[in-house]
Amino acid sequence: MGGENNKMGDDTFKNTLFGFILISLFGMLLLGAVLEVGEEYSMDTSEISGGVLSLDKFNESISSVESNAKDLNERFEKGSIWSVVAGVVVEGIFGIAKDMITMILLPFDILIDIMSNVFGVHAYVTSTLLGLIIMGIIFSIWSLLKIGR
Amino acid sequence: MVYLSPASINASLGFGEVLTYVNTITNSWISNMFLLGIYVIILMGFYKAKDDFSGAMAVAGYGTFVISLFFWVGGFISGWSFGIVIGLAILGTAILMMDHN
Repeated sequence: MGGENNKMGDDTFKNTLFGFILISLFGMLLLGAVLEVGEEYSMDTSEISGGVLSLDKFNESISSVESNAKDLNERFEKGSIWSVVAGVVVEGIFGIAKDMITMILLPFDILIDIMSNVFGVHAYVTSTLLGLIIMGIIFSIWSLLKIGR
Repeated sequence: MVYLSPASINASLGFGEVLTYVNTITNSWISNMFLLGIYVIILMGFYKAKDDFSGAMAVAGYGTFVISLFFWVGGFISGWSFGIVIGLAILGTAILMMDHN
């Protein structure tokens, strides 16, 4: 029962974190569409894209997602667990985690390059997706290490 | 304020002329009410169909956003009204993302 609660707690936090990042991305996409269509039809977009709905604010919010995720990844790979219950220090397993992350990320890197080069998807979209994937992998591997299955 | 006479428009050019006239003399009130109606209809329709209020807010927000984008480009609603619609769409997204049920 307690384990279920802990698992639910982890999932809720992950969803909240991802939710905050994706809200900025959605805001950016909506405003991007407004600015693009508005400029095409010679509309004054300053009234909409200013103040609270400023494009810069959304951009600031999501521009650092990928670099932050990579930073988290580096710190995760260097980490160690000192388990009070088992009385052991686990360090070597993070080397395995590093290889696992690299293996999982490789196809996503290629996919994101294709999205960017072939379909012309904006860099902030691909950066956010890559950041979410890296964080998702960290959460998954942490869960694997913690639960041990 | 002197309102434009209905006789001044050429209704034979299409119903769009009538709509533009109505929108002009009501100072965009009719378009704002139309968007509000669309929002509430989608919100309530989705909520009754799926019993999911956060999903309904997001869908209603996006649906109204698309229609209001056309309205804004056509000059039927002000940027201020359009900003509110964008805010509603982003709010709907936020509620959807934060809903863990």
